[in-house]
Amino acid sequence: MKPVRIAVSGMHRGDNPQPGASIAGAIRQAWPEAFVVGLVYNAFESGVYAADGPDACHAMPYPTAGLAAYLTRLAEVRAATPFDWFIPTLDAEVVMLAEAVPELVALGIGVCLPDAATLLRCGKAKLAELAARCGVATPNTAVARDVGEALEHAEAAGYPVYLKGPLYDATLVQSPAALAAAGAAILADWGPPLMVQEPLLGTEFNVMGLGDGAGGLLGSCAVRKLIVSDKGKGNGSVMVRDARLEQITRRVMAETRWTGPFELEFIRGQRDDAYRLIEINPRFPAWVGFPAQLGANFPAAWVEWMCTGSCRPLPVPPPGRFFLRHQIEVTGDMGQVSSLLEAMPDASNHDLTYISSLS
Amino acid sequence: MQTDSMRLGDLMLNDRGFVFDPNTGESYQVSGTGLVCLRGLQRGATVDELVAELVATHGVGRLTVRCDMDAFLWDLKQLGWL
Repeated sequence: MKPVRIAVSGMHRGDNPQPGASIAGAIRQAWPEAFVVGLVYNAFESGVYAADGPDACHAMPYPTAGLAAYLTRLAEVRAATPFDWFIPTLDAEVVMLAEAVPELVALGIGVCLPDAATLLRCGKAKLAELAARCGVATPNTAVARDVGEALEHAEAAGYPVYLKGPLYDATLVQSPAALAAAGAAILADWGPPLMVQEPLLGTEFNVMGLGDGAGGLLGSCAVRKLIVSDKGKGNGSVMVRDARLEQITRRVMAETRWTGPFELEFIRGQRDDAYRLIEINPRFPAWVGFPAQLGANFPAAWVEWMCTGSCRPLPVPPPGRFFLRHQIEVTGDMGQVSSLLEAMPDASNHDLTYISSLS
Repeated sequence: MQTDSMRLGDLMLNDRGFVFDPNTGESYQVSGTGLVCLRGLQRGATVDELVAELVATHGVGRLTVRCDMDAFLWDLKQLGWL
């Protein structure tokens, strides 16, 4: 295998952490000489300044700027710091790039992503249909085009309900007023549809894995959340092994013929002990570095699979090992920030106030 | 009674009575006697054998041990371990 040169996005590790920095670390764990390019949307993405951060970093336009702007910038970045593969880590990137694989290949950038139709089938709005085909339950969910429809669904279901956006955001709302405010915010950030979902009493479990694109599974592992942040993020989780979760995961892979990294989110019901599939995330989760530290290096396996078409079997991480998210301060120099800002394709994307206050 | 529950067999125990259920991610603390019972059940001992062991090692009447054992086994059933 030739030396690994790879671009990764999602480098922020502070509040609401992203997986990119852990992916970079896991790749380095397997190939210390790997060249990692960090793609960032904000000069203050903390992973940029970590000791084991990327070798080079470039600013990108948000996916909302459009595919053409995104591809143009990717080509510029690749010309400046050549790389062969790109692992997008944010839902919005995956959704956009899944429809642009030929264009990426034409630029010399390899990606392995689920196709657009598969992403649509696995999206929040269609999840119940997919889950039924896979023999797994989902929470009762109604899809709304606007706040008015969401209010009607919530009235029928009874408060409280979860209000969710198409890609991000899940807010537990207790009243019509709270729903209207949360719905307007989600629509402004992510657009329609809105999902009105019943809240469930139970424990949260997540499964991470790699699909081979032919209905098989290259590897997976499951955790139970121990500490949940006020945004619902798992700030601590313990490795578990449940044959039921493994079977559900295999059925989802077989049904979708999923390509690449994924995270399945479940709630195990307090009353009936049944798993309900909450969400499918088309990317590595933020906790991807946890199994890598236990010998199950999913990013390295994925890079190997992309480069060679096969990978060594991933070991199953031992149950009972846990992680706790531990925030530390990374340090940087404003010169580093300014060089990133200068390269920002659209400076209006970024908070320049702090910079100008220093000058 | 012979037990061969997969979940019971999967339980991770340490000498201090800490029990981790890898299936659910739940953890528990059991007494020294509870630990003897769980380990015995894991290695395939019958309830009668465990009762006899506890009677011999704790100097308690068989009926008392059997009552406590039944209560403990009921808890294990509630947890889905038996």
